[in-house]
Amino acid sequence: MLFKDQKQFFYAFFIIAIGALLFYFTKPFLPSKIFTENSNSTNIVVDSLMLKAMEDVEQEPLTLDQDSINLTSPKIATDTVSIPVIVKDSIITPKKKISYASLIRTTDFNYNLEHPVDSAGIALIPGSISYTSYKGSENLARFFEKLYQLEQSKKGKVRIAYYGDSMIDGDLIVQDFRSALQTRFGGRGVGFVSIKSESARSRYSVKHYASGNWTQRNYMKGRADSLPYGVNGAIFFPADSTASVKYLASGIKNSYRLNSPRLFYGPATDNALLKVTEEKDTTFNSIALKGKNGLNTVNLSSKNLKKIELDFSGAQNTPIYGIDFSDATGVAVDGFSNRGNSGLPLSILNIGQMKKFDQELGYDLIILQFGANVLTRESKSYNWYSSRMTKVINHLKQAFPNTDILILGTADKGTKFENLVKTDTSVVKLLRAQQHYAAKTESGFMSLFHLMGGVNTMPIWTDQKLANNDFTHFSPKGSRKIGRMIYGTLMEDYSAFAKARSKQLQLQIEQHKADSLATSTLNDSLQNTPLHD
Amino acid sequence: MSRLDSIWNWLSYDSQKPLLFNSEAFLYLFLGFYLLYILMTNVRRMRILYVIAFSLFFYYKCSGIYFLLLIFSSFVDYYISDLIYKSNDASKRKWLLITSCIINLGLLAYFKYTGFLADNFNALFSGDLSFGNIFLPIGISFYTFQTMSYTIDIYRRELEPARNVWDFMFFVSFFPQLVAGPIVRAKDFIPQIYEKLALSKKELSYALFLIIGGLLKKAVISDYISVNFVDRVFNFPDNYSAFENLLAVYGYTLQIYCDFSGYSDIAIGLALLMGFELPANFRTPYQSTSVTEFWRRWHISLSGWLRDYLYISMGGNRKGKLRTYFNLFMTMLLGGLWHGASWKFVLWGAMHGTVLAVEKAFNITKITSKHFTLKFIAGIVTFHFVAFCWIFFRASDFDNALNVVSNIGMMEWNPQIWWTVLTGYQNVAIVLLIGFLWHFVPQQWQDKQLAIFHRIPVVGKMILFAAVIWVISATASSEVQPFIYFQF
Repeated sequence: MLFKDQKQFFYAFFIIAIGALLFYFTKPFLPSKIFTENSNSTNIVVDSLMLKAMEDVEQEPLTLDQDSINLTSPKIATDTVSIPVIVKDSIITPKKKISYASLIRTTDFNYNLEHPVDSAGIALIPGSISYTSYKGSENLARFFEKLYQLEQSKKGKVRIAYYGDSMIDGDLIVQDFRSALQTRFGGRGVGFVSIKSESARSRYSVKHYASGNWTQRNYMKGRADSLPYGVNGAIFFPADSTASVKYLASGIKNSYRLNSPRLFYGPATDNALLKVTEEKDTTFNSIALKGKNGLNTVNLSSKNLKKIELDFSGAQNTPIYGIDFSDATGVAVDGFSNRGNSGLPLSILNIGQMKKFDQELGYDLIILQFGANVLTRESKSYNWYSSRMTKVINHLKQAFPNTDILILGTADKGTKFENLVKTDTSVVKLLRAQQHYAAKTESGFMSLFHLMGGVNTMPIWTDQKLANNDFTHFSPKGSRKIGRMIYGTLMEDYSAFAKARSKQLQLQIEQHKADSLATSTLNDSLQNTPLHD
Repeated sequence: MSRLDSIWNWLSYDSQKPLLFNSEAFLYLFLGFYLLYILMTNVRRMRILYVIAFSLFFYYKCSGIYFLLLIFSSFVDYYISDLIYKSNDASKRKWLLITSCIINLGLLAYFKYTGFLADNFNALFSGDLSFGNIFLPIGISFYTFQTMSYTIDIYRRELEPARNVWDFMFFVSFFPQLVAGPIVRAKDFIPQIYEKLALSKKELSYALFLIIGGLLKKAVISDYISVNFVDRVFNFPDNYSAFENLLAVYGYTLQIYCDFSGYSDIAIGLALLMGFELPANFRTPYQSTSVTEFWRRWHISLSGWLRDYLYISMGGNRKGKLRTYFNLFMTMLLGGLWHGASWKFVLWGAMHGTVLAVEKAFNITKITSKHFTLKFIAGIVTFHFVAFCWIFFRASDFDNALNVVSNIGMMEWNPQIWWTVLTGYQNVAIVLLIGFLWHFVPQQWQDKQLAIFHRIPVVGKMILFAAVIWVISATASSEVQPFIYFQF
């Protein structure tokens, strides 16, 4: 035989070839995945309201896709922002009915889109893409007006509450957004900081260490019996005299110092005492917490510090919320992150208590960045989420009647298809739901998905170290990028507003001139008219 | 898209999809290639050219146009070595050797270290050097060392040159070890070109055994734990608890072994199927009881190369004790730099070099080998030293590495939390456990596995191979582990 010596070579070939064929033909009958994910552990953070909502979904009829909503403005073209007319402090905008069909649709995108690569073979980070459907920037008019006043007069204060999930953990994104706003409009400090936070250790914009015995409750676990949570969604009690908390200024531009720290606390019990140690002092100030109202504040220092330490005593039953670090003028942004938050717990915030916080802090804008935790749950549609978030936002509007609301639509999220990571099929569905509740509640809307560049951008962001390997969270570097993008987009709308606003002022002045001219001409003519004929 | 277009696309270079051994494309390519190859067993000349052509195509699929570099290096090194071989003039031979080294190391330096050198220059002299984004041709560190071994061996008169430039190019471009080693010495490989091609039944079993094991290590264990756990922790250590940080370090320790040794094993297996014997590259290195031993079992072809061509060239242990320690240290330092253009690799090499020198100075290996308990403790210490060094190897920079270290430092005794983490990352934990168990079984057991595999009939081997492909494909298409935030 010709190939007698080579017999084993042929065996090798046949083993591999027939093995491959065998796999090829049996593949359809074999499970396609070995490792499936079921994260049902009780120790994993997901807010309890979302879990409950998920249970309820099964019984609900799906009605959302058919209904239509009242929008305050017609569909806005990408390059023009319609500016509401502000007449004597009231905002008049034409009401128009718009159907749900004009929102972002899943069919708008090609999910097999491949992004170009450079000569070294590295995928280029795609640029942002635009969309013509609902943005609702006209619904941010009150906020823009406040910014405009601040910019013109260099006086006053604009405050933003930025709520979110683990995407803004440790002040990511928010710190860059804040810093950019403060650079333009003035203002210093990191804003309101809780006593404790699960991400305190990884927070870069301010270091804070709570030690000793603290008990805490927060809205992630549902309603607290008769305890009003703070604007941060949490409440803390210094369980004994070991309870202390220390804040250290850190390295984010415009937040190098702890600006004019002010403590927020609930009705104090008698003898509640606070020791304040500034910088590296060995001496401390004692402050008696005397406030008996639902919400009280006390200025801890008039200085801008590098370090402050608080020791509580006799305050076992005194609710402590947190400390605000901000200048008297300029922009303040409070970052409120909770891992696992879907946004639904915001509905637990007590309206009365929020009004008190609003009185003290004066919120002009609430930003809501949620969705990452909803995305991980398999869902045919996010109607259930949309209807619940609508309620949440209406609740917030009641609590903060003078505050505008901006909804951030979900970022891209990657999921494996075969062995390629592509945009998760839920992403655009969720985005649509988010745009829907933004429109329905007359809130502003900004799509992070579009800012990132749309379909299949998350794998590239991950490759470029702009996002983590879960294809969901941004890395610090990516957070900076997205934070700047959010700022940039907001500023585009603001510029359009400011332009229209100056034009309006101009017109008013001209009108005024014309009016007074007309009056004086009239007077003149009246004067010229012989009094008696 | 027409069928022709799609074939063209499939054949052309796509930087996003380099041809990996564990890819489906490679399986089909290899099968096609192998069938023709075994039909050519008796026509050496044609077979050599055929393999060169395939290897160059393989390299083209990995690095595009840079396959021309392989051709260039082959010609230059072959003819310079030929001149060295034919010359009897000592100084001429020396100059030729230096020229060859400059060309080889120059190319390596250009492609691999330009950016690094420019960065350092800029940092030192606040300069503004920039050379753009230089593409790093895959495997350049490996084949550069291979060609250098040829030239140096010829210079040392330890090797007969290849009979012609094609045979040499066959050695340089041989695709199994081309991109990730083992670094095959010319004197181990070139003589095999002239032997009759053969494959025994035992060798066939061994080759398949290596390929299957390698695939499982690379495409299942390493790929799964890196994407689903290790990378995340290293990207953002502060988001994870102390225990998760520690787990990530163990995870990376396993990952890098499985990745690297898995790829080497596949390469060795493929070469064996083609009738070529490549040297073993890993021998369960984490079983070592000293760092000295570790380097005899980890990336053996590299440490051997560094010993023979760098350490010995620097004087080895012939110039006194202090000089020996220095040479050891420098060898490891440069060896560290070989792994990548960054100071972190230099530090990694320096840490290993220091311990190697210390072990030599105090004769530690002799002391610990005396007693079983001592040996056991030494094994644990060695493993943890190596794992610790990997932190610097893996981390994106020093800060990142120190961050991981300080997070682990905050570890508290709380088995309940550990268990919560392990169950939360159940799949990762299981894969880690399997990986380490596999690594730590005694050598006799591994030999036994091979013996059992050898006795499986051909049909059984086919089924087993099909099953392995399924496991790989089902792992690759498994869902990505979602992020988990624990509450403690």
